[in-house]
Amino acid sequence: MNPVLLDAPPIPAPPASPPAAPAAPRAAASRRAGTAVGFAWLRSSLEATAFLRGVAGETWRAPGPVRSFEEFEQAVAAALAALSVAGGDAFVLLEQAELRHRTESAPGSGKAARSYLAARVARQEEDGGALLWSAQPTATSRPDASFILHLLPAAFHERLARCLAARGLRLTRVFPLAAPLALELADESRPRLLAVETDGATTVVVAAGDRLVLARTLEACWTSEAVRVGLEINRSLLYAKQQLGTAVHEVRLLGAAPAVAETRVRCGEGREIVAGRPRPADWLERIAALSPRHPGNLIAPLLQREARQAYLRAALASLGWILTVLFAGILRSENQSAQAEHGHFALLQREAAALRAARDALLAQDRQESQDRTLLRAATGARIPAVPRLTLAGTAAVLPPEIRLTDFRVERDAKTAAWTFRLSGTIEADEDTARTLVAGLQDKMARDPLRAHFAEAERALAVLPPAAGSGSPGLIGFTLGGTLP
Amino acid sequence: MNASPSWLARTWSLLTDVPRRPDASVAVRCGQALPLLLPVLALVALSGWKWGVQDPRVRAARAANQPLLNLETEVAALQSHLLQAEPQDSARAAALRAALPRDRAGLPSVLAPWRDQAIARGWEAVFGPVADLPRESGAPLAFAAVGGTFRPLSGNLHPWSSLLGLLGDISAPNARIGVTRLVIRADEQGRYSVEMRLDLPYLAETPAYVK
Repeated sequence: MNPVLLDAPPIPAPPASPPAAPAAPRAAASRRAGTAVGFAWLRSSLEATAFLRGVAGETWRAPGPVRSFEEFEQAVAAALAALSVAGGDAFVLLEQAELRHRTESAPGSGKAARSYLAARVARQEEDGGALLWSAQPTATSRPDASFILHLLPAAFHERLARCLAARGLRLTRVFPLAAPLALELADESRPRLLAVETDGATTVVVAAGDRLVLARTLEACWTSEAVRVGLEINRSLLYAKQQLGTAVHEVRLLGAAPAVAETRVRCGEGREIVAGRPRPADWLERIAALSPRHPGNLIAPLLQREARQAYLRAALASLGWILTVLFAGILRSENQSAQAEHGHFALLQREAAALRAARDALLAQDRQESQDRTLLRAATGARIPAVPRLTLAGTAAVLPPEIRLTDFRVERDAKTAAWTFRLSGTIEADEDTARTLVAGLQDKMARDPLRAHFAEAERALAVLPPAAGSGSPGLIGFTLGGTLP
Repeated sequence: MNASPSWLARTWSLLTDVPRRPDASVAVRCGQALPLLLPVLALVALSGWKWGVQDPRVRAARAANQPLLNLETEVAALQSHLLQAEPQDSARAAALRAALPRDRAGLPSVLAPWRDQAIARGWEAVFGPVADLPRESGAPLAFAAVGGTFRPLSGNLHPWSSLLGLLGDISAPNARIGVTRLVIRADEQGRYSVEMRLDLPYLAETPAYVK
């Protein structure tokens, strides 16, 4: 059983440790140049490969076991020195005791399944702290979707990232060993089992083409527990047959050549048992081809969250600066207005006396204007129409020659401004003719332009006695009165 | 209230979290928060200057100069008002003032030319005493009533037409005389006797430029 890295005591640094002084500008330059370093940290073995724009370069293998983070940090420094890499992106292919694998069935698919898995992980976190996780869908005979959950303590990742950051490396991908193994099995469509021994543990992956059936890590190895491992491989084969509905005919054992015979005895019936050596460099190459956003990347959600946070921070900072600039512009404009206003105030103060004099002159002029208007209005309003002249002229125009006026009176009532008139005269005719003449005069005066309104009470017609000794016939006297418009 | 710490924690995390470094020191966290805090600090500083310095200064200056501003506004309003006034009103009013007697005592001098005018028309005019008419308080014009008796002169062969002419002269608008009573009597021999009551205006105001 390997020691748990998070709890492992620090071990002394090897004497040949390179200086741990990363040059940040060089790291940035390396990132810009597309340099990346992949580390395959499989239990106590560590292998590193440099990649330049995705093309694998040199590979370096740690000469001794790498079990703790201190050893890992020193090994990373040695690897960088050996590979002549100053910094850049880093990815890690991981197989450690802390990295756990669970098979989970999830109802539904897509988001629902992912939410379900997240809830399952959350329950795990209640017991053991924050976890980073990724899920690989597996082929299953059951109606529910099935996944292999890879769970990595967040604290492990933080230490890993810190170790790499100390060497100018930015961790972008962490994949479980099962990921490249599944990719390797996807090269052929027939069902195959791949078992890799890594320092006391055995990682078993079964897949048919791109249909992953299982991925598990046994805390046992051929050399010490061959019987148990054989038994577990046999169980894995039976499980795969159950899920796929067909038998697995090829078993590939990597790093366990001596166990081929044992495996053939236990589960080799009708199967091809092949031995080989682990190829971490090949696996790293497969991982190098994967995007950091690949769902198998254990830190993909973390990177996305960091990217979102960085975007949000940049947006907030931009918004803050935009607001600041706008506000500064407004303040500048207000300040200019205030200065202009200040200048205006100074001008007003200088010309206060002149302004007061102008105000007084204008007020006097305004009073004069007002008086002028009032006077003109009063003169116009007080003008008395020439009613007497018009009435006199109008009456003269319509007066028959038989009628002789003796009294003509037009008056204006001062209170009501109403005009009244009164006519008296004589007619040298008989009474009927006189009556007709007076009626005719009345009729004409009632029309335009006089439009006189006669009062019946004032109308009188009387026969006047003839003057003594005149010898003429009697006269008819009349009186008319009324109002004028 | 439970949301508050969470919100604060999220804000704090957004401001100060250093990626992959949960154990970052306060100095490093402050450095991380600087790009966000700087514009905020700048905004706070600008706001403080605006509301703490600039605005009070402007308000104080406005308050101190408010009487002058009011004066300027008043002058502008008066100028605008006077620009809208009819320019010929002033001339008409001046002409009217020149034509009208300044007070009641000047009325006889107004009547004197009419006496001559009547003679020219063949009439003899005799004006009676001047009597004040009721006037409105503050009115620029006052009126007085004058009774007049008109008799045709001996050589007047056309008393009727000459009377109409005289009445026309007296009632003309530019004469500014209101005839409010006209009584004409003719005796058996055809002699006319005319009585008129004339309302004469005179100035009751004191012009502004006199004040």
